[in-house]
Amino acid sequence: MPYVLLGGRYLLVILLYLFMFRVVTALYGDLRSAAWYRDKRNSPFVGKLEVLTSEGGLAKGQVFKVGLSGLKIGRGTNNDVVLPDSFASQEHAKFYIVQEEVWLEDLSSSNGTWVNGEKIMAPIQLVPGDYVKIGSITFQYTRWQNEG
Amino acid sequence: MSKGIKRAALGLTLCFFILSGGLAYWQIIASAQLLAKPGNLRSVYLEQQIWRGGIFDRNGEILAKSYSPADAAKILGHPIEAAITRPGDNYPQQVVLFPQGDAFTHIVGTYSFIYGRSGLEASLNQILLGLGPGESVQSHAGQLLKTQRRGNDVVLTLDSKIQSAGVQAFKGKLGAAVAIAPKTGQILAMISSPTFDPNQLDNAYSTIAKTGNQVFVNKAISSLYPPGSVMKLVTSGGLLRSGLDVNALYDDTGHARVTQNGQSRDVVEIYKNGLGEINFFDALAKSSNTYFATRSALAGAEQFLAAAQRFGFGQRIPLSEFADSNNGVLPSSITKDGVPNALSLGQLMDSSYGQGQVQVTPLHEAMICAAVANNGVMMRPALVERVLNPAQQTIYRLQPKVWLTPLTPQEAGLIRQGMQDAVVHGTAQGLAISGVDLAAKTGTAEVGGPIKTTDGWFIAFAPAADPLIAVAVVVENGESGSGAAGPIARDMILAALRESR
Amino acid sequence: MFRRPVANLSLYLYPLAVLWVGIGILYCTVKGTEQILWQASLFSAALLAFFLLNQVLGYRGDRFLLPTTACLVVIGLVIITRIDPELARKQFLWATVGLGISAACVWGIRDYRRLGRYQYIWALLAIIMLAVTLFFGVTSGGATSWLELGGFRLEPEEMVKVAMIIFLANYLRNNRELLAIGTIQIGRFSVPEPRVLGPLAMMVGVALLLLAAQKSLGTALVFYGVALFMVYVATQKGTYLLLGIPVFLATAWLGFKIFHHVQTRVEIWLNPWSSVYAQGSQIAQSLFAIGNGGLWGMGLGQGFGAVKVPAAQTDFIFAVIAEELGFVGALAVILLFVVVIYRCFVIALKANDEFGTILAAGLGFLFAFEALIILAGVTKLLPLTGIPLPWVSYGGSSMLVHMFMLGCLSNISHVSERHSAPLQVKLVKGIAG
Repeated sequence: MPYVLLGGRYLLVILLYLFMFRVVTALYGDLRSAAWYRDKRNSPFVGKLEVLTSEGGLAKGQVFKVGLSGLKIGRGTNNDVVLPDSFASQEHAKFYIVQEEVWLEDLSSSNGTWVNGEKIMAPIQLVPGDYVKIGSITFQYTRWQNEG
Repeated sequence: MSKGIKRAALGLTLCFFILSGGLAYWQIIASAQLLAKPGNLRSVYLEQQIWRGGIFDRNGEILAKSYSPADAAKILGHPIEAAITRPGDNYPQQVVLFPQGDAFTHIVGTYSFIYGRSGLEASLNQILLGLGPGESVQSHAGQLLKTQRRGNDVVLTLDSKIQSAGVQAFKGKLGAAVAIAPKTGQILAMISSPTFDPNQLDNAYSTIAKTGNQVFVNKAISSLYPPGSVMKLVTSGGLLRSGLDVNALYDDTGHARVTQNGQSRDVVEIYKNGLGEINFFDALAKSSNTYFATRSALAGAEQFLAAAQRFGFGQRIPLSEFADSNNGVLPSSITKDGVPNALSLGQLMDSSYGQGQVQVTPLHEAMICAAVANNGVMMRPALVERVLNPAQQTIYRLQPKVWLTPLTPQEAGLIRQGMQDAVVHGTAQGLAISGVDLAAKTGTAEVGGPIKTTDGWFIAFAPAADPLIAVAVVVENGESGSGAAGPIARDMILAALRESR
Repeated sequence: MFRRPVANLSLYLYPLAVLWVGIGILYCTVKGTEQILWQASLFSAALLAFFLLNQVLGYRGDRFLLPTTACLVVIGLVIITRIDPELARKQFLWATVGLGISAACVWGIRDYRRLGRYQYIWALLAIIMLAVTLFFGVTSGGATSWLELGGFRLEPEEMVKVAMIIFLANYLRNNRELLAIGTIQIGRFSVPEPRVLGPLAMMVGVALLLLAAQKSLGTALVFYGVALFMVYVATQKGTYLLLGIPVFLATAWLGFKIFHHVQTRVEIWLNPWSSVYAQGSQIAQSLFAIGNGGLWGMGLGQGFGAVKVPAAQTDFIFAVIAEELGFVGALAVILLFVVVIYRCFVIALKANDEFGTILAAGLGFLFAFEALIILAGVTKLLPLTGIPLPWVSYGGSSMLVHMFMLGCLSNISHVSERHSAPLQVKLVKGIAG
């Protein structure tokens, strides 16, 4: 019995350090894989989309960040940005990053995706200031300004 | 904002780092230091895990022993408060009791949950707990497993009959006494007065503390007294070594003036008219200050200082149980610097009869007396006679060792003759014991200070031819040595001789 | 939606294992711990239920925050059980209720931004709570910090902490540019307008004055530090920090002159050994306990500090931990706090709006200052100002409030990780993640 208690007393502290080890290794892994860490400017985001006009649903001036993992947009609830707009498809379009540049691809939506007034047929690289229109909603794309 | 957050995070991490450093300091570096702080009773508590060994006198009388709280309460007649209220404690709790009451308080010491340990209870702690030199109650495994351990029993060289006789005789007087077996250096008794009952320390601390007169100090080793005329043993050692003719007569007129190298110094005898024509033995027996002061001046300071050195002045007495500088044996000294290289004429003459700046401990004076008794060989003093492990096997036994050899056997014999004469027709005349060949020397030392007081000394050994015991007694404000200190020494010697029969 | 269910569950098993190993040891060695088994089972069930709820509802926020705090809570529960099983029964209850509050905060509020809507109501609430405590409160241990309500003892200053931080986060979000740039030019420095600075200075000032009047100096110190650092983070102006130091020193000096007990505190700090049996005993006994722990500790249930150190279950719980679990155990507690605070800052950095960033950072500062001030106090690095060690010390108010804050942080983290979907859309989407 005394040896069991002795073992228990050591186990108590060992458990705490095992936990710490778990957390630290997991955090280290997170840091390595986390997009925001690899970004040179220490920002997890590359670009942002600001809502310019919207008929209901989204508020004007609302900002969405585009991170390294990209952004899916559409009416379906599994999207990163859910558009409460009847003109939007379930899975409408996606933003993704190639070498720190934001690309926009239409996911075969019914009503199409428009950049600066033109319907896009193939993935397109966005430049700051571009207007992106989906359904009745218009976004303006700009670079994400790191506030550091 | 991220830059600010990162900087703040860095700063706070640094703070936590410093905090961890502080924690490491207290837990690892300063840990032992904290354990030793007064008010930290953890070490006393921790020792509860080990059934503490007892302390016994040379005849097996119990001086200190552990009892269960229930037994202790029965013996003391009042309940013992639980020392520890830790939930889950299952090792025996114990109380150390001292059956001899106030007789051994300063030497055996005290053991209290409030005031900690003192005396031999403190210095023999490791042995009483049965711990090896490197072991500690803190050692981790023993801590957690709570194996029931027992400590070692310690048998001392002390003799409770001699001690009790001395303590009894000391009642109402202040001072200290030490008795030594001259041939072995074993300490037979060590008394410091005033004393108190160590069993009552927790209950009556404030009352005891109010006693004053350094009630908590072991005066036998930690108090320094001017030796007065008992110093003449050391002075004789120097004079004899420098070729003094012991039979040459000196005319003691009660007053003497010595002039050397332009310095001059007067000595005045207590006896107004002097002792007349005296030789060395008369001078020692009747304690002539002028004899020793003038002879010392003639022989020079070197021989006196060399003798003091041979007798152990200025050196730490090797009583390992009290080697600690805090509450241990103080070295005796000729001046404030210990034993200096030179003395002025005045210092030399004053020192020759134990005044000036000379200071000795009662223990050292007993050892000086014992050296004369032991043909000039000063033994290493000892308190622990045997150590018995829990199975009652002897794991240590005292071997007598020589410390110093201040006198040749011839020199020692001459001084002994003078001390025997002191009992027959000298200053110690009134203390003769019929049928016992006693050798003694009295001393009366003036103590400086706003009010001049005198300490009375009495050193003696017996039987003179084959000494069993040497005693040194000092009584503060004791007037003459033969008056206050003599009877105490005589009681102790009688107790020792009665026992040897 | 189950994301990494096994990996996530294993994180929760560590605190549960610590709890049951600790309770097991105490059950075998300490009398009176029998009833704790029920309480501990209840708490364990609540923790697992929280985990399952997060898995089922698709929690996407920080995975480590809750298990790490659970470790701290569990260490506290075990040590309190060791000190006094009777108190531990209450504390287990508070911790279980706290988990509920935390869960309600993650899933009930849905979006932390709702908290920021009524900034002046929070401010008013804070001031009122402090004022009420000052006038109707109960004095205990030299400080008037408790309200008695139907048998319960509340410590409103704990709740005031939340209110103040939410107010400050909202206020700073709205005014941070104005505070950072400054509009009035004085020499080389530009100073914000009084109109902007006014509410901040007044709120912080009034709160600090009320706390000083209650003699809750530890809490006042925490407030001051948190407010200062929140302003610094929001404005990025080091000037505010630099300005804060002389203001702090002047205030401390004033406090030293005015309050007698501040003087005794400092005296005891400088020489805690002089009066071991009198006033110095708290810090001296704390250090004796800490020192006795050594590297490996006396072992759970074997220290003396639990009996000897005054206020062992509240302010000085760390001394008991250090004695029984040793330097390794005490360091583990410090590291757990570092992880929690670090996660707060990561959540702040990841938050997708300024209110969330400032709020999460503010909560991180709060935990950091609380832990640092009391831990530095018990280890004699700073003069002692008694405050509870968050999640670890005994105390219902502190536990519930800190659990609420934990919920807020999880909420911020969860919402940010889901990408910045606006509030209305989420309401439409519900919580199906």
